[in-house]
Amino acid sequence: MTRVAGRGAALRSFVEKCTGEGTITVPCFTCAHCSTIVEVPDETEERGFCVQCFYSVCIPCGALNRCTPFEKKIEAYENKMRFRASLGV
Amino acid sequence: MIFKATGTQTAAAKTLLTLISTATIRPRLLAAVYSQVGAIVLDSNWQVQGKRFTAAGTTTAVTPTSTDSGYPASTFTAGANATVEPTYTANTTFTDMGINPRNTYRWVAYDPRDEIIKPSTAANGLGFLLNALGGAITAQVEATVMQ
Repeated sequence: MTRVAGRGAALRSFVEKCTGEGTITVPCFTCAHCSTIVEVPDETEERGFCVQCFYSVCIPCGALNRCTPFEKKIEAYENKMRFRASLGV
Repeated sequence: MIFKATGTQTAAAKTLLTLISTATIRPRLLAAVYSQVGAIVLDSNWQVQGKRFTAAGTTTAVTPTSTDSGYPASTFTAGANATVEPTYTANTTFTDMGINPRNTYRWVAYDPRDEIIKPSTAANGLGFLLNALGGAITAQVEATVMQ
């Protein structure tokens, strides 16, 4: 038995749990700001959305009300580590 | 190019699998399958956490296998069954779950924006930490990585 939670679940990122009672598929997304995987078993469930990078964010990141995409954070970290390497630190 | 790497672990809190980036590429985690192999002695959950690290620790080398035999070897590296734990960065847990040993759990990033990105920095990457054992099991994670 396969149960799909949420409308359009098959067309989105998902988690699939194979249990003794069947397979449960739940849509999910990765927070655009902190890169945490968030399951969305119910489409009506409250979640964050960033109107600047136009993607779903987790509720704690949404509450911060500022846009710092995770790729920007990665780039900043890479630049910092390159600078440290150039100094031989 | 897409590769798969699998790691196992029998002790907590030890790392099952590390995916280690280099300074030249920015690999992306596309999917992960969590399961356990062997007989189940206790019907109790095991806990696995996915985290980012800045030093890879000491692991048994795992050769990532490509999904196409025509691919060259992967640039990123992987390791399993850590004896010296990676240096995990605080507050970077991207997944944390309890899984019944009778169950499997699969995460798939269908949307490219849902993929987990690793920085192009040597010895940095993602680790899957077997944080707690419900019973005597061999936990396993199979990661699908694009580079």
